[in-house]
Amino acid sequence: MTFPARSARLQPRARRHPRFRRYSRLSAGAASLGALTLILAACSSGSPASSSSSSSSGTAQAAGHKGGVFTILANSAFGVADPAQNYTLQQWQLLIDTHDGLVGFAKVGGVAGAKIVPDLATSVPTPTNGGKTYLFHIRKGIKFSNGQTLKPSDFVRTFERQFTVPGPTSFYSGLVGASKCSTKGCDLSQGVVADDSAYTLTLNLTAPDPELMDQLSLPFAFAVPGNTSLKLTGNNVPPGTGPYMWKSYNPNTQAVLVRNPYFHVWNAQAQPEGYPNEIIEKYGLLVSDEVREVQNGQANEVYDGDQIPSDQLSQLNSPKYASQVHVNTLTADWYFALNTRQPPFNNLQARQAINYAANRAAYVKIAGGSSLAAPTCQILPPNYPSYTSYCPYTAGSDHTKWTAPDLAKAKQLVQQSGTAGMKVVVNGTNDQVGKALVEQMISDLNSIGYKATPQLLSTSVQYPFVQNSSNSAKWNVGWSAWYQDYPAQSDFLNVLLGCGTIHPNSDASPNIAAFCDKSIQSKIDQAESMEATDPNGAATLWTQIDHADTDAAPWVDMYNPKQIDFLSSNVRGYLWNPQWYILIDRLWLS
Amino acid sequence: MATLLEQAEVGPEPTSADLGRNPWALAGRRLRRNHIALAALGLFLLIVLLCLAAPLYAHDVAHVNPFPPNLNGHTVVNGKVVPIMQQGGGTLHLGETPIGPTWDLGHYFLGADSTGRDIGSLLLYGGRSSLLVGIGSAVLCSLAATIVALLAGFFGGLVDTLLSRLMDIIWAFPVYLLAISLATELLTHSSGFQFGPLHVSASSLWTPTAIIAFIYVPYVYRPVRGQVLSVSTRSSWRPRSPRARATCG
Repeated sequence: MTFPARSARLQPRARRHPRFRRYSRLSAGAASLGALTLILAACSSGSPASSSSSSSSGTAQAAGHKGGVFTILANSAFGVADPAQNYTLQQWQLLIDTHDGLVGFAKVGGVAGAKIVPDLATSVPTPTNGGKTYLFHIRKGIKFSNGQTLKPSDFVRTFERQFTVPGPTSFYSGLVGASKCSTKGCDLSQGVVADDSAYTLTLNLTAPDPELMDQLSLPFAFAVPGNTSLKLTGNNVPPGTGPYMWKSYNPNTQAVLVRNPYFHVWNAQAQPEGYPNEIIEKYGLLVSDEVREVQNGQANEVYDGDQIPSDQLSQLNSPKYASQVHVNTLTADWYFALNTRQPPFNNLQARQAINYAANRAAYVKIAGGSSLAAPTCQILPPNYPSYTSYCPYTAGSDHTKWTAPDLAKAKQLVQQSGTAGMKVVVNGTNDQVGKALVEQMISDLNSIGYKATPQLLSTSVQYPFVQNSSNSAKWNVGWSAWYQDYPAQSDFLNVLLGCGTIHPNSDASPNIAAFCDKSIQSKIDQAESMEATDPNGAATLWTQIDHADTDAAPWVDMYNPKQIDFLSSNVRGYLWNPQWYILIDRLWLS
Repeated sequence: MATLLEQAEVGPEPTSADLGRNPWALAGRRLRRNHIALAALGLFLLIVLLCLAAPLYAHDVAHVNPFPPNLNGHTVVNGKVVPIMQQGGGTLHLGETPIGPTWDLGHYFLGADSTGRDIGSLLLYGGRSSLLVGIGSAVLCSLAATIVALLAGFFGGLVDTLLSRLMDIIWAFPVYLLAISLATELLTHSSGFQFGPLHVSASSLWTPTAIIAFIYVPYVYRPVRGQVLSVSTRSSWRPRSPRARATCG
């Protein structure tokens, strides 16, 4: 996934707001009641509350921390709000609070957050029929936020919409019937079989897919009512089953989430009750102003996809912010995609030239320094399955890591490619860090003989702009970022650089470079088919694919970032989830 | 009773010392006597000279290329070589802070910006842009307004009516809103725009110069037209009817 702006997948002492003051008295009273309840329960049972009563202890704990309005500040909105299409971390961090899927990543902190647990299904099924059939039993008594009761047949519409909206269809293209689906219509009656009387849902695949549970945990597979339109719903988010619901979304101003009156906890690991009564995400401020507002207690979180300017980050080193700043390792790439449809970067030597010239140390400084970013040349991030350090685009003979640009080699390649002097348009976002990255890329391009100019767009439109092939003639180098959807090699190598993820004239075409190498694609297909039967062989093959993609240079990969979360001083309960990062509804306001 | 125009033409009464002197000499004499104006003029000329010398300063004094980022660069402060971007302190070492003013003309006199560029050089280059836009727009405005006013005042009649009404239309818009509207339209095309045979790039300074000149043309047009009318009325070339002389504007 990528951040918009930071594209998809992509705050001294708080001043008390009058509304918050009222909630804090209520929450204090509730906390006392909750504590009393716990004490009484412990005394009567004679033993600590067990994990099997997680619902009741979760409810008691939630009662103690519930309340308040949690405010997030983001530089811009996340684009279209339809969960079938939106591929941004920014919206996903909110969608996991308003919607549910059959299964989901546990909403807990630490490595336990990478575990897939049952959500709307009663259990995670074991596949049958040679790994091609999954039978889910759907929980009863769950309602959408509009009062409609969840039925298994609702999932049929969910999966159909992936093809008719369209979304990034590659995740579910293994369903029987999916190959015939398009924006004109989709018949998944063989692939998604719903039995509303038995409350079961059967998924039939054309081939085994070991990544299916991961893919079902993504927001694309979150349940929506069966009467949801097959077309893009734009900025209207269909009702969901989560603890919150979308009250409003205006990409020019804010998004507001309020409690879903029909929600009850059925599995606290998958979907606990949230703490804030309301979650507001406001748009339009400069990132530096967002930081100031959080420092002053006027808001609670700087959206973690907004890059805090490097010189402002230095302020956060102060001991007074020690409890408000959280830094976590990510599996992510920040890169510039090279438009392989247009000259000069339809030429391999030209692409390799800019890779040799790219000053990755400068990009790291823009990101906030070596404590927040590490330079990289390759596609897979460190600590990722199949990662083996590889960087051919560096000065010197050590090709395991980047040390410095090699301008002589770069200029030589430019001359050999015959593209010297060509005009190059560098597309990026117009926030402070985005502009700096674009300026550095322009400097790198100009240093090897191109004539580069900037094209800066708002963060909410830049990502769809570079994805859509109808804009292909307008840019040559396009900034983007990618954060894992789930820990699988295909999530980087196939989703971002596979031939099947180029969707012409679509805002959801994550292979921005439009890179398609048939020989590499055949290895990708082979690796995916080997996952279930020979995972070690598949892992080795993925490493080869990573290196082959790096050699083909469809990107200038800049660095692997770390995540920084900056919260106001009254925020408690911070959890880092390896899949969703900050868990917003698990935070409470003291 | 004299018209407002005739009263405005009169000015202060001349002294005996002023008699026989040409207007430029009179103006120079008054300027020399006004020490505050002289000081301001001197400061302005100094700023102009410094801005014109920006390439000289950047290349020969500061030894920098002021425009591309210089995030990995180094400079000398108090005899020691230091990085231009310095890593944050504390336990987290977050961020990279550009160096502040060194007060050394040859080494980042006013410090560096967030991409490592010399602020002193950028300031002087920025001054050139400001002077170009300011002086250019004033010259363009005066030229355009004078031409239009000459045409209106000399030909009179329908020509005068049409041109004056056109100026009234432009004048009717709040000046800053008009400027912002024009700028939003003309400056947001990343590929620039075509103006007849001319192609103006998006980053060209001629665009804001032309916008500022355009919006102030009516303000210069009116007094110039008045002067043209006055001269043409008093001269024998084009006798004017009382009704035409009394036309508003």
